[in-house]
Amino acid sequence: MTDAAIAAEATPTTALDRVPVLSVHNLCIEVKTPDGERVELVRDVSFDVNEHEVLGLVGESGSGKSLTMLAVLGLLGSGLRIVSGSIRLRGQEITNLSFHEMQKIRGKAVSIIFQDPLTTLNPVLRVGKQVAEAIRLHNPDKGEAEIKARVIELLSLVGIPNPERRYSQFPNEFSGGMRQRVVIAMAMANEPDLLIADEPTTALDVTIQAQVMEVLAEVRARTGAAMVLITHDLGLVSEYADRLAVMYSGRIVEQAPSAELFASPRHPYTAGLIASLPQLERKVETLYSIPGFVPDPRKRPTGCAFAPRCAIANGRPLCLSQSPDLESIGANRAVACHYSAETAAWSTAYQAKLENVATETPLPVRKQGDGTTVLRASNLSKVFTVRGKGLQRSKLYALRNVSFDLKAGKTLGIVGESGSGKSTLARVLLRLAEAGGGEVYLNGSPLFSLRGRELRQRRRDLQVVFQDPYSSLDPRMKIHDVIAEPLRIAGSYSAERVNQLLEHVGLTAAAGQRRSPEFSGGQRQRIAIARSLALNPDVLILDEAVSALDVSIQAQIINLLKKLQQDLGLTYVFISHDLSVVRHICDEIAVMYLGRVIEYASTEAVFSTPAHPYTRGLLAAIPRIGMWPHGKGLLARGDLPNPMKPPSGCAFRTRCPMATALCAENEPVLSDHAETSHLSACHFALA
Amino acid sequence: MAGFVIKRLLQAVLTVIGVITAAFFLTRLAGDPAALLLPPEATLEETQRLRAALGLDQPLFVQYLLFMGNALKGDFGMSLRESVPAMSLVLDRVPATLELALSSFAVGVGLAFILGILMRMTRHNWVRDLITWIALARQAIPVFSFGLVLILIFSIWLKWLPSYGRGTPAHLVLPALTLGTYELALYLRLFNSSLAAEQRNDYVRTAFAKGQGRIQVLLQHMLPNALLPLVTVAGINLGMLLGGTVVTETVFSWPGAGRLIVQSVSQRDYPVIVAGVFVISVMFVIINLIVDVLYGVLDPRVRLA
Amino acid sequence: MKARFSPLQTIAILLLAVMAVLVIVVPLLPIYDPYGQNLSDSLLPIGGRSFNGHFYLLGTDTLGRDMLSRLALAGQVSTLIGLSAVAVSLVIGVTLGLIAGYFRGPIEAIIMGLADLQLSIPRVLLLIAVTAIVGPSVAGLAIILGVTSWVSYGRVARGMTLSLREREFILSARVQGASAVWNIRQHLLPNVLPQMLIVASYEFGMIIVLEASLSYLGLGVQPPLPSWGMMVAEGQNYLALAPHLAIMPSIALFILVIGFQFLSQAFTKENDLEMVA
Repeated sequence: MTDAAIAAEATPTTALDRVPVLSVHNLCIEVKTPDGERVELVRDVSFDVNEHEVLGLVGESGSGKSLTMLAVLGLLGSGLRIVSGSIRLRGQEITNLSFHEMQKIRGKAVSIIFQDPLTTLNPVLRVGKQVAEAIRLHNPDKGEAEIKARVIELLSLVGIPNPERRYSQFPNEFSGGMRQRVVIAMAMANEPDLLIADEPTTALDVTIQAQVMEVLAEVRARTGAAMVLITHDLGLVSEYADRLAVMYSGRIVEQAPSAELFASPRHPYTAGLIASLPQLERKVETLYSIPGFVPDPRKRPTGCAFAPRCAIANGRPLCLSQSPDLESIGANRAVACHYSAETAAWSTAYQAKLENVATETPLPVRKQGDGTTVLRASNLSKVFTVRGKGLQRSKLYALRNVSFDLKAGKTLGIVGESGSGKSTLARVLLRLAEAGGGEVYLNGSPLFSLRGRELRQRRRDLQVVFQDPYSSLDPRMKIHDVIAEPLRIAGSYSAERVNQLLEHVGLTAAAGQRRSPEFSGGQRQRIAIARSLALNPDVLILDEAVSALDVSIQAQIINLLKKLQQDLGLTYVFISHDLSVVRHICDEIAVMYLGRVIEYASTEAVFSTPAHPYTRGLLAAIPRIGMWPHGKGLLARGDLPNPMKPPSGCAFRTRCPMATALCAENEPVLSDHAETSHLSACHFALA
Repeated sequence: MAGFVIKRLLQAVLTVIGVITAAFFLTRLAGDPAALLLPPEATLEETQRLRAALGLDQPLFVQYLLFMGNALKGDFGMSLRESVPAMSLVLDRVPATLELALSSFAVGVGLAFILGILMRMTRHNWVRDLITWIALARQAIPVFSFGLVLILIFSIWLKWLPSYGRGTPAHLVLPALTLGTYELALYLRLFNSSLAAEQRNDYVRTAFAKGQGRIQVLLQHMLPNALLPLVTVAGINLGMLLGGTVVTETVFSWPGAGRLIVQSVSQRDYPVIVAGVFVISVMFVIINLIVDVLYGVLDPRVRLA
Repeated sequence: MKARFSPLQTIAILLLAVMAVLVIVVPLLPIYDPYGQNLSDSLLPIGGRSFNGHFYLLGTDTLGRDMLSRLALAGQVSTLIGLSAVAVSLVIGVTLGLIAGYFRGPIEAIIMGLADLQLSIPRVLLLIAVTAIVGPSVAGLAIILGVTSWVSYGRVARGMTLSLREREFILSARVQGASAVWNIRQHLLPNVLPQMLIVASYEFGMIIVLEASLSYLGLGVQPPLPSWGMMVAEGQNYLALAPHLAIMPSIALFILVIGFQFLSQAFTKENDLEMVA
């Protein structure tokens, strides 16, 4: 059989007359654990990447998507190896090449962009040298001057201002977004046929993400490189990928052109993922959540790995006994499910149910929704003194006059990118950091003047759930003791109360006897929520509480939080960078930029008629399913200014598409412009 | 960068003041300096006259300032056994100590560097294991024991090298080897673990992805990063090394400051002890300062901070 | 089924068992006589037999004293000094480290300044200066060695506390109204102590070597009580004639120190924690 014939047979999407840039067939990768056990992490994966095409490789953590692409570069870590299968680059088999032979391919025919621009560049080498290296390795006959000229050309191509000066700077003099541009320049240096982008923007803020993706698209258009975009972000692939491959537990479960996949997913996992994603366009009362969690690769169920979580498997014997193969369904599509024909019906039924809920059921009345103010912040400020060069000290205004008023049973969303001051706000509210000025009133009485025992008593009404489910639980303690801790501190421990709390968050009393390392991220977050509820607080501060979780788990926790709010009459302060989640859970939203609230209004108002250009830029920057192209003119330009030297007047003016001379002179105050209770801080809020 | 150097200089000055303070309290703990200076049969009047001359009748704080002033001038009083200033006795011996310390330092860091690279490059596990085990075993042997074993083998049995004294380069071999290899295991472990830590960084994967070879990545990318912790720890451990010179100098009758201090202890010559400890501590502070500045030069993250 | 001990742990245990025999079992034997001089039996080699048929397993020293007995007694002295010094430094170091790391501010600056100051005077020199003035005694040595060795524990404890106190489980406890004492007792100490024991098993070896070095210089344990370091110094004069005088105590030192080093390494690997240098 010829190569083309193999390719044609395995993936019928490929036209016979075209050799794909990359062709992966039946790839299996396994790891040898320290105990000598062999575990398959990538199982029987096949796909093609065609000329000029962008293939999105989507999956949650641990699905094997990054490993697959590292194998293409021949850079699998120690302990990992390709067991079987073939990888062909323009028809050339590369699985049997030596490390040395692969050197000629890496960086020349294929290059990669990793997730974290902070670690991708060598901190002790000049940026220009690092890019130059990529050129020199594959063009040994080029002279130094020629190489340097090319590096500068590349740097300006990816939109780095002053490339000549930037050439000899070190990575720590670059912002995250600028570093990722350098990485892109490095990857494109030899105009590779295939570019692998492994979560290229996950570590970046959403406005920067939009800029970086833009640059990536431009340089690709220039060289015509094909790309594999590895990501967990369905919105991102929806905008940027032509075709998608969805991975679950080491296998590809569905392949389809982007638009078709989102319009009619055929695998129940894909359908579930899409349903569980909070979306900007609409608000639903409860998100769909895929039950359970991704299995440990060592303990995969027999049969279909997704069967235990599947809405349509329903324990059918075929699903539990036999793992489905990836089979072609019509042109360009393939799915690995015994009952894929039923997925469409499930999706339609689910959509119908959602629309019913959205249109017919009025919002349930909450227990304490009586309109009394539970938490009020007035003119909070916080200044950090930052050590600069030598003995210099500069002031960083992390919070400036932040005020809000939160009614019982409501949820206030605090939204902002890194550097906005939203995390500082959480710490100040919790008195983990002392405010520089202002006051917080909890149930009407001031919080900042409290000291010692009195403070320890009163702060019990204001609790917190943090972002990182891994560092929020003491690894040495049993879960029962973790949840019992606040009760023990307060001297009101009872085992029944602990079990009751476990039950509240959907865990059994038996779980209390195990330690946190045995639990997954989602379960740990449930435990952290149970602990925060132990002392019957009135207000819960949720500091990026669902940000570290995979989409399917995130939906579970969001639903849990909403249910708890209704059952217990809780009031939430929901801090997040993710506007889709915020829209879904919050009643009111405060948007922060460089320590200030620049827009403050009801959720509906913020999303339907955003008043501040920054808010509009944020909304425009969020990749969303089936909405390309978005309003490019609205995007914020450039990088976040140095918070130690904020621009005069309006802090946002340097990035604002609407800025005028007025903006540099006067700082706009936060006020309502047209309608009442829609506050924004912009001179042109009405424009 | 200038700010960084100034900050470290200030720290160094503070440390020296701390050392002087410690020295002051040590000498006062030793008893009345006047009583030590005078013969036992001295009269009360003689004692009091000397006390007044030395400022010992002043309040403790004034005494402290006097002591500090004298110390900064390098005046720790006369040696009790030889009628020369304690400081000049010590300073005479400093070059020998520096020679020993620096050559030992070079031996230690040089060996760690070579062996560390060798361990990283070799494909044979037994080579790695052998180096690790030898370094570990060496670290468990005290300086004096190791010195004597070297003397036994190379001086007494093989008669290749002299066993004591200073003068020719041959005299330096055994002492430097004895002292230099002591910290080898620590350096090696550190060097290896920082190389291993660098290996996990994305920039290493990126370098491979550019098409670089293993050796290029090791030398161009990992080494500059992995050398930093080695330099720092080796610098901090210079204190250990300078302490080690005391024992090494005794083993090999090396005419350095350490040996002088030990001899002065048995002769109860306190001014020389205090001057010696002071000089070696100051040497250590200065070397540490140099190492820190060097670190700053090597690491742009510090330099540009 | 996993093996109960790793190879490193096994070697460590075997070496320490040899030491235990020397230090605990030998003194119980009838031949034990660390002080008895017999000038006619002086400088007998290993396995030497005197004229009157007395057998010396490890030979005799210049005064004809039984080397095995003296090694055993010296081992007891060293171990005693080492253990008490480790206990003293562990308590001081952990206390100061936790306080510095948890409360920060000026207290931290003072404690860490003290640590830096102490590190800037080489430990051997500091010990020489202090013993020169205070005078050598077993109890004094233990205290001096202990007080001057707290820095390793202090630094590691502070470093761990600094990272732990920002960990979210401690922040949570603070928000729930936990006091500093509660956090230190419930969270910090239990998380820091295992690491401290690793440091301690490493430091024990260091202290044994320091004590031996001082005794070698004649500033540590004083005669007639024997010490390994002192025995090496005595043997140095007879290196050509009777090398075992210097070699035997050196080997004893080696076994004890490397035993504890392996132990600390074995635990380091077991807990997968990085030793802070």
